[in-house]
Amino acid sequence: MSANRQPGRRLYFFSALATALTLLTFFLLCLLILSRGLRLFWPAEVVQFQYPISGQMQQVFGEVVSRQQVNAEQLAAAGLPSHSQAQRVLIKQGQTAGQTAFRWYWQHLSRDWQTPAQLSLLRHFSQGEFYGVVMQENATELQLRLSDNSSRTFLRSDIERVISPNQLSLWGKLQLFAAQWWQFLSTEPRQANSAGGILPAIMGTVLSVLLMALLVAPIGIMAGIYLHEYAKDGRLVRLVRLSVHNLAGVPSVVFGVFALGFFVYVLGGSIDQLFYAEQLPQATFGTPGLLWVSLTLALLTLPVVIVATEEGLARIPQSLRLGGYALGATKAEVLRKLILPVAIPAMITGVVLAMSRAAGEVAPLIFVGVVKYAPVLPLRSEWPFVQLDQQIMSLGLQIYDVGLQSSNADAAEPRVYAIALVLLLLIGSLNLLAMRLRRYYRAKTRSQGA
Amino acid sequence: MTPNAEKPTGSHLPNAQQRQRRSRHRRWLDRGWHALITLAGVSVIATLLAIFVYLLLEVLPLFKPVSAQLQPHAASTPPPALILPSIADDDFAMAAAKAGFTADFQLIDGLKRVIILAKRDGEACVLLRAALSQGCQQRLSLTDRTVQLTAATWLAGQQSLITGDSSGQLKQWYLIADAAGQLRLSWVKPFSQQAASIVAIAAERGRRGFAVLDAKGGLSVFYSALSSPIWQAQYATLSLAQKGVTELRFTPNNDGLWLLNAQQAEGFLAINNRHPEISWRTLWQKVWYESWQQPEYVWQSGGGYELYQGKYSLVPLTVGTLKAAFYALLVAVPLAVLAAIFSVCFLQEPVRSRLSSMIELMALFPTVIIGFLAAIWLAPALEQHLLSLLLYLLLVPAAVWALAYYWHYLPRRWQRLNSSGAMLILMSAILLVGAWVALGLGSWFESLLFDDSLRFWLDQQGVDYQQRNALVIGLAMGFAVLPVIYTVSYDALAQIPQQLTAGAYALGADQWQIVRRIMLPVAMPGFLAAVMLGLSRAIGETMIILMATGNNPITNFNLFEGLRSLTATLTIELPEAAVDSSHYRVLFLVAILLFVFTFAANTLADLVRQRLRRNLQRLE
Repeated sequence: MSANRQPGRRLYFFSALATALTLLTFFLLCLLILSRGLRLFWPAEVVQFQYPISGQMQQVFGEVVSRQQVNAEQLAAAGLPSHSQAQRVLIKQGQTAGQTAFRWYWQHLSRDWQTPAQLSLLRHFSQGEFYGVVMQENATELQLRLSDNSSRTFLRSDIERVISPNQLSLWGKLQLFAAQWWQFLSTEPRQANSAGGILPAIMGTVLSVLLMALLVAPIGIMAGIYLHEYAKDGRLVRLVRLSVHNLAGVPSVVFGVFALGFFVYVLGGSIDQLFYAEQLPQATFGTPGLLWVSLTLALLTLPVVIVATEEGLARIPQSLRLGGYALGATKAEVLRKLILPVAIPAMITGVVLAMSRAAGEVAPLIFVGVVKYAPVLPLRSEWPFVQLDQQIMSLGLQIYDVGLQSSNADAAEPRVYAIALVLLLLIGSLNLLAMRLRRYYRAKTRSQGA
Repeated sequence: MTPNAEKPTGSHLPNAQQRQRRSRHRRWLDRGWHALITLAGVSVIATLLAIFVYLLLEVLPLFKPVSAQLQPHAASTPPPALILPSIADDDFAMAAAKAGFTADFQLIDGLKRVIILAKRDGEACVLLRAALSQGCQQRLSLTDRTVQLTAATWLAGQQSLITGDSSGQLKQWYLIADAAGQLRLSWVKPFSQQAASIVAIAAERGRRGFAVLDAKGGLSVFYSALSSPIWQAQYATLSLAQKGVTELRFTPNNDGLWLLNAQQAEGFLAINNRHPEISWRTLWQKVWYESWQQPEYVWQSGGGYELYQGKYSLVPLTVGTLKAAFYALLVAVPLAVLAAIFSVCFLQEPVRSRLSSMIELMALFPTVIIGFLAAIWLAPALEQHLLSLLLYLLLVPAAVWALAYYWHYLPRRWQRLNSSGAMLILMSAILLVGAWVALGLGSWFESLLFDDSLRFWLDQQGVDYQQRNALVIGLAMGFAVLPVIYTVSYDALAQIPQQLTAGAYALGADQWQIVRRIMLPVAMPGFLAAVMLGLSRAIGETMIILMATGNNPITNFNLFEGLRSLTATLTIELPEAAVDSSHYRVLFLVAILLFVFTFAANTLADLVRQRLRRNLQRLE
């Protein structure tokens, strides 16, 4: 092998390495979210063990959340006799007398690990979770023996669910898993977003994005048609086209700043003065709300739709147009009867892509109406069915807020993985749809062009 | 189509009148469509371009020069002077007498912690309440030797003092704690010299501005961070006769200045001075703020109390943004460009387009999820396995280097892997095994060399390691901008016409020579555009930086420390900024900076790409 082939092979290997690293990172990230997100609702084994607390052996009930190796130095810092290595276990022990819901235990100090079948997890609507053994139950009440052997009586109506995971078969676990997912997707959050479901966040995201699509689709498509079909191809139009394309690259937070200043304060303030003057100084539209969220998203994604429309129109063979004109059709007729039917899938692809981009957007929406907690859905039973001035929740902000700002980080973190999974699935399915549409459209134009 | 009576029976064609009506109808429809679409198009484009104009309109008042107008006979009466504690009603007086100091000027702060006594000749004495019996804590001269002290006043907040003397010199003094923790009055800076002896100084209420009157009738308004006056005029131009004005007094909201002569109003000056604290100098240069030890770049916008002096230096935020973008590009550019080269130069068609659409799919990963993973998963993991990461960065390239070197010694059958996607699987295996080895070796080395923890060792060496640092940002945001750079580079490489490479092959060039001598130089503008687009994405990125840094406005490029970017600042502070305040407008200025920079970078990248495409098309 000659020496001059060596650098070529090196380039080949290193570029393969870079590609593999990129793909691997992507897959691992997806896998991480998938595994952590799914694990949240898989019924985990409930354990029981003995642990010395202030000199006395005490019973602990709970679930193992994670294990960690700790080295000698950190052991010394914790004031423990120095082993070379020790393992500590994070136990989710629920509500107990005088202890936190999550607590670290040293593995080497604990004794007598068991997984008794009758150990249950009780989820209370307002007081959190309890681990214990069910002593008595009847139609209205349920008595639970907690880890410190005290017993507590709960009203049936306050209990969300009682689970005994150690008794469940695989099928039972699957059923429970599905039921808990359904509950997560279909109920409202409780306890400062650290328990309950995410229905308002899903609805907020979906509603604002749908409303955005309603706003952006006609306007963006018309602007695209104008730029491609009607505008004369001069220097000015080229400049305009360039700047419209590049607006897609302007940071979304800048659009948020504009939206707060212009939509909320200027536009909303004027609407209030004109139509809701009797309610002032209580602002109706002069304050962040669903309408402004959708408008901001529409503004943000307008360039995406315009670009997609133009690209779709550019793909249509000129012969189609010329044939139409040759038969004496007017420009509007050629557009409506010949071009649009072929180009519509491309435009819809643009709108779907815009929706998927909008669904993941967070930063600009913080200014204009997406909040941490707004459990009431922005829906009404009479026309126009949507409460446009109401503040909403969104999946993206939930990830930011529950993930980083929650006071109960141990309980909140697994939930965020689940929310991220939901958001990812939403965006992924929108993209899949867009891809399908694009493929369909390309096949169609190719057959037309041939 | 109802058959018409005049029409020959049997024909269903429309008659002339119908045809005319119908063609008119069609023409109207055509025009209507044209008008509708043109209207929509033009209005959308106008709206998008109006965004910039609106942002600019919100920012412009910041830089509007101060204006003032004299109203000789104002309707209202001057407001009462601010009541500051006087020396007589306190045991300070006794102490002053004990110190043997008969003062012409007495200044006490609102909390009665400090009293400053000064004589006409400039000699001054600082008394502290905590140590009254010890007499003067500090004796100093407030003027140069031959000139007389003629005016002295606190600025709002009573942390600093402005003095004026008979030579027209104005000086600012701060009360700063020295090394021993003792409050001392220290000279900070002079302001620009006035034409004549200073007659009166008046401090603004609630912010650090003041007005000065000199003996020749020169009237100036200053802001304490700037040494030259922000407004200046002579009595003559104000058309006010000199009537012996001895005192100036601001209205409570600083929009007017009373000219007084022994409690008698001589005139009223309406001043329009909304944002004195913002100027290019305070935004981009070091400013010495009250109770700071030296001039610094500071961004501290919020304040719990009314007298808080907002500190708006854009330098820490800009540096933070550039730092994050720099590390992100450091990660993303080599990976993306290499991946693009691999896809175009070494992969066959079905795998190639599948790979490129996969990487494009990565661009749709919501950044809020990446930010969350970076903050909650990556940052703690990196803190624990920092050494392993370093080892990984050495080990894997070394292994691949060795593999490339000894490849031709392998059996022929294996070498055929070369031309397929199977290489990616081999590389993934190397990466995974490498990670496992690096983790093991990392903890072994750590216990061997660094007392079990590189993190503690770094602390001992004086390196400040913050958990959410620029390294985390570099990796996370690198992942976010990678798809953009990849896509643009891929396009640039894929556009290179076949005959260029085919010709080179025919002349006997090998793959490496073709890539290096033909593909890379030809596609270079494309790479440049890719990097530019990546930079603009990195600068505009918000959620990752917001979540995975400490959001601490510091000015350095340290890899192990956090940062605060322009975008994150907007997200954090805009919802809380009072509408039309200086803070609000500065945040709009930040938005404009982001807008202009990303827009310019994108446009430039677009032009470069278009040019490249034109040039390559000409080759074909």
